Amino acid sequence: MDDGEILELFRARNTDAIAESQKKYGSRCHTLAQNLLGSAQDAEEAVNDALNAAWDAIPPACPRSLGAFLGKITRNLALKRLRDANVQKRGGGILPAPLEELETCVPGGARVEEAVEARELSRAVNVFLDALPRDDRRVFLRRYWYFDEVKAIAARFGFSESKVKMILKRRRDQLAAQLKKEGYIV
Amino acid sequence: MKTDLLVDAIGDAREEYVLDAGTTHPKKKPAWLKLTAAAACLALLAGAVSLSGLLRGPGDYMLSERSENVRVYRLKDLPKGGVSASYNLMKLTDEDIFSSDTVIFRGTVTDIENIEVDMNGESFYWSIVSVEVSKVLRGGLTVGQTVRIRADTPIGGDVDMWVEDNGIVSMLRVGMEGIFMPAPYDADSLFGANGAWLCLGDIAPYGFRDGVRWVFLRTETGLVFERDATYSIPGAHTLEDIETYIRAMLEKTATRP
Repeated sequence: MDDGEILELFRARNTDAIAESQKKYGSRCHTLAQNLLGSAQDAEEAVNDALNAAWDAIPPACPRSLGAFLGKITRNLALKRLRDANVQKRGGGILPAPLEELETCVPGGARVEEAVEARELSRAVNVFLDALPRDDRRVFLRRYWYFDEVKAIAARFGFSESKVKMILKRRRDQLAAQLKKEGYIV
Repeated sequence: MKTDLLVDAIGDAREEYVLDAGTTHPKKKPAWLKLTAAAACLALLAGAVSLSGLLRGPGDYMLSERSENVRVYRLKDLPKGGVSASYNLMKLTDEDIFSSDTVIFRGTVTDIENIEVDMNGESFYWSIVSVEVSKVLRGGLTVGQTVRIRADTPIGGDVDMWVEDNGIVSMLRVGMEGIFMPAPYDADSLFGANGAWLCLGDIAPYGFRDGVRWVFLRTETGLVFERDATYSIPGAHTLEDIETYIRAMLEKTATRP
């Protein structure tokens, strides 16, 4: 079933919309959630929450891409679970490797300026992504949007793992420099 | 986490970028196959490559230390034989375009230089377009200044190459007037391929993000730009019409909440 047909089910309030979305995008969303949460059970719960959130959102939401829409909800919900769990552990939880790597963008005692509006920071990140060569942008987003393992990224694009690590390091440094220059990191 | 805001901001990456990263791409040939092919070719090529490297010298552009394993040559003639490249054009709305950080100016093409970028043995064919500025619509340029812009395609009447999504830029000719919207490069604008890195600012201070959406041209056959797919400007027949449209879009995007 294509996205248009599934979206029609959502609009008609037909619960098959959830089953069809699960069938088409459940596996990808599950992988994304598991990359973050580490546990298949937690990932399954995050995906179920995402499908329910999509049911609540459509309509009025009318996503251009159902896959991207579900992916983003899953990502946000999985991050929320991770943060909630870390709060319960009083910040003592172990971070997934991609998030640890992003911490290196904010060195030492520095922090992302909290007064910065989230929208401004999103704009700055998109400007950074605009300027990247396509391969590098895909590698960067596989790691920090989808939270893939380096090995999986290398296999997906036919690169060596060392090349993937080199791209990620260069681009993290580039992002950190840009954010610092623009005053987002203080 | 001190990077929560940053992680969330990455989550707001443009949808087309996220989808592009999510598509499955054909895997490259297995390493053993490439090695076999490479071994077969090595004996034949070794002499020629070393000879051509000696003959061609260090390249025609002085590159900074940020560029690694790359040489850039000015070309008089382009290689024949259907060299092609393909780029996946992301969807952008006109508001996306005018919200981005490009300069916008009207001007006349004064020079086009085709170049070969040798990335560790893998060649890319681009061009550098020089444009004399006659009117500034956005950005810190001055009238009379010449702006050099990198394009992802070689340009010229006899070019026997095909580069997807460069249909409008490849129509550029010396003397042609247009409105140009290139993006500025900085020290962090890098192009990487085949283990080599080129700091794009080493060869031009600006570049077209693709070859169709960042230029409006007045040609012998009329006004040329990316009609319909990106811009809907009914009744646009002259560069003045485009100027009016751009000024309205700049006003609209500047006041966008």
